Amino acid sequence: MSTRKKNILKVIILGDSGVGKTSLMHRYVNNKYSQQYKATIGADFLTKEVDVDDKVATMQVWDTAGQERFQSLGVAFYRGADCCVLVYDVTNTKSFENIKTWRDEFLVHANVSSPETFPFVILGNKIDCEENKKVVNTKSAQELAQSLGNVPLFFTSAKDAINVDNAFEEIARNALQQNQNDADAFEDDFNDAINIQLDGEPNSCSC
Amino acid sequence: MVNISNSDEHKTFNNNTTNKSGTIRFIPGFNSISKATPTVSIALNNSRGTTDLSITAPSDIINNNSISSTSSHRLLPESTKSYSSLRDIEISFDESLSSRVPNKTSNGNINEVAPIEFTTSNSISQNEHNSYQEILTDLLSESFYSYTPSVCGMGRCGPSVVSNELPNIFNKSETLLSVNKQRLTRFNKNFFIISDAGKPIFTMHRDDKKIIPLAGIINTIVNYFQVNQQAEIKTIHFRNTGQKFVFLNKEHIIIMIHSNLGESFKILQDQCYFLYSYLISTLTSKSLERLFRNRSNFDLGTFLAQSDIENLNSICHLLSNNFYPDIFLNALQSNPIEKRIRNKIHKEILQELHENRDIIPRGTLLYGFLLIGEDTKMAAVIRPQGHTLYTHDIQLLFCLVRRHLHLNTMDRELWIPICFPKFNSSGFLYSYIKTLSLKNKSVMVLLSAQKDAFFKLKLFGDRLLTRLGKDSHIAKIIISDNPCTGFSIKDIPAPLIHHFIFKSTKNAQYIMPIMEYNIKYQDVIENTVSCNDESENNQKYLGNQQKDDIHFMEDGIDLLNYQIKLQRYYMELHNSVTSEDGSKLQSRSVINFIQWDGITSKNISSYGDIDNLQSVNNRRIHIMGMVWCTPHFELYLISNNGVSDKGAISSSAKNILRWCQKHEQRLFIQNGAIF
Repeated sequence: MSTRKKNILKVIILGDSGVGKTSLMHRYVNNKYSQQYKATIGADFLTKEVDVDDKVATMQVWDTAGQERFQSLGVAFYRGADCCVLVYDVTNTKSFENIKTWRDEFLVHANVSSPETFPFVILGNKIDCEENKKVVNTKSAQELAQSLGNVPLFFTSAKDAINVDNAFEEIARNALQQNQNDADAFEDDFNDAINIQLDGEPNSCSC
Repeated sequence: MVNISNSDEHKTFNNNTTNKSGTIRFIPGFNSISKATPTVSIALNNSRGTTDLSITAPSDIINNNSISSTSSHRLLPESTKSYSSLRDIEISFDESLSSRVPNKTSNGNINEVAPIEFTTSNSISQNEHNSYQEILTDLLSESFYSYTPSVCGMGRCGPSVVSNELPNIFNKSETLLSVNKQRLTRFNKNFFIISDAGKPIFTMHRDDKKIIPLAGIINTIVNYFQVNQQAEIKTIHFRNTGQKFVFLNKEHIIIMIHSNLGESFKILQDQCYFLYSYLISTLTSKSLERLFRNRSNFDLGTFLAQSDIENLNSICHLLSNNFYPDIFLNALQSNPIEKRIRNKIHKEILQELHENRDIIPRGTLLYGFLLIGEDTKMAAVIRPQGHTLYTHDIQLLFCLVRRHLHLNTMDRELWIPICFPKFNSSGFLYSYIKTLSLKNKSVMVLLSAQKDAFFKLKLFGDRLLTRLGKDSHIAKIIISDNPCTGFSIKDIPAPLIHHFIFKSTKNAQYIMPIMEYNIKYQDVIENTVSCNDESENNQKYLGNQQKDDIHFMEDGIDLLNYQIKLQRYYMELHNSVTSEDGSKLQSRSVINFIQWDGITSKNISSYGDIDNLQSVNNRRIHIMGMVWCTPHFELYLISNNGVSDKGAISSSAKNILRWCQKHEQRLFIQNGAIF
């Protein structure tokens, strides 16, 4: 048995119901797309090996349910994430407006080491649809990404496989970076010898 | 209807009238999306006071014949199994989150909080279980020797011949060698350690693609009960297959054991604790806290050293594929040595300690052991006046020694920092480990709290060894190259007894005869190795696929199979006098017999139906087991095949007891070398 060399990166996908979180994930992991819509119940877990900038890792994607009634487990899902992906639907203004809410919700529950630098990636999905249906314009999306701390922004289509791989590569890169930062912040110190005086009072071991 | 049993009272709640109740639905099945990457879904619904938990999981986690599924839009049509009842699934958990609630003491002890048992409906098997327990209790209370054995097994067969071979009656048992199936379900037992963020840290049988999603599920199940029920899940028990999932949720670490081997909840939970203790012993609780503090995304799996993974792996094998009674007995195995010689050893140790006060001033040496044999039997103990280490901690240490004996790295001296979780979980002690004889597998272990005491302990160890070597009697036992055999069942006037374990409660030690089994008559554990060719194939398979696991194969398949059987017999005996949560059915003395009857065949398939087995090579089995627990000792014994006479068994049991009591000072270490 050998130690696992690859780090596991926990990536969590958030966004309103129906924006295409599951579709994006399946496009990325399995390169498949289904026209049919099925609401995710609770969460789906998928894994994908990633290789970014010569670093390898295993991405553990937590695809959460967008519906509010499934949110009670938020704490459990968000805890210990390495990167958070916020998804909106370019044809749905409400879903775009909720991006900030999802981000705040995540930061409240995730208990991350430094909220200011925690990596988010925003995806505007469904860009394959007709131009007249697009109600969220590019400019306001860029402004939002800017205002949230230069969050990387991608316009994607899970259906037509546009930009999905690029987006997830960026996600993996951010997650790896976050993981590395955390590892660097930790200093090894295993000087944990116990001070024991045999002749004095029993030191917690009298039994 | 939900039954909630509390530690001090029994209540029955109705679904509609209380907030505490809930329905728990399991919808297992296959996922439809991808075969290559199994996905797992957990549905949680918490509206209007009802709580639904449905799980869509790959069949790897849940045995399909154990449960079937209701229709779900996530199921593949061909994998949908019809399924009518959920009554055989039992989930129990603790209500209070004592370890998580502030203002309460940390390290919440599971035993302290009121256990709540959820049963999804009034199940038949529950009733059977209850009545079985009632009958058992009645039988036990009738008299000291209640001459009505509890009958297990598959019904009576004709007359049989007494033999000293130990057949296998646990037909469902599937060993590690059944390699036909590639899925995780092929294993009867698996161990999972994951972080509370849902990242896998360690699993015994690995398949990363499947383990990573499973880690997410385990995390979600545990958190589901915390968030929605304010409770700790303890176990999920599938009554009709005997499958158990036992959970342990500690700060930052979640441990789950899955087992088909019939251990009680208490035993599996102790094993969860043992794995957790190993993590503490290698990291200390302080470091563990520091690693996860403010960064729950920490990937402990990549942080652990290679040797940690190997040690965890060997512990898991010990707990699933070997005969390792230490944990359920909560005792250490003693090596019988003539009283005079043992006293002499202890005297010499003290003398040497006294003469070397300049090298190792008082306080340098904390504790010491002389161990003999592969299974680390204690021959001598060195300890300070008024202090003893916890059995649990010593078991961890001995597991480490065992591992090194296995690796044959014992020509080296080792200096290993080890944290004893029960003694002090925040710091390390340092252990000097030296092999005295490779053939004899005897080992000296010296413990110190001082990081730099290696050379002092080494010098002392060398001198002690020289001194002990001068006495020919001592040398013969400890240092000689003659393999130490221990004692044989034949040495004891106990006819018809195949094997026994005798535990002295006072000394927290146990003894048992060496394992003697007849390879020629060794019945093949079903579905494994039935001829030499296959055996080779299996070896080859293991060589290719499970190189990691190969180390425990050194003993040979026969011994391994024998140990697994022995473990199952003793487990049933132990379970027969303890309740599921580990408490003794009767507080004082208990005596119980188990009669295993059955037929075995050389060609039984692992899930073979026993009724169809009459055809080939049928061999009848009558084995009787007996367990006798008092406040002073515990005696477990298994008869030879062909015995069903309780009188004969109990008179042999009395002989064993008399023999053990007569030779108590020889069999057990009473005090050790106390300085």
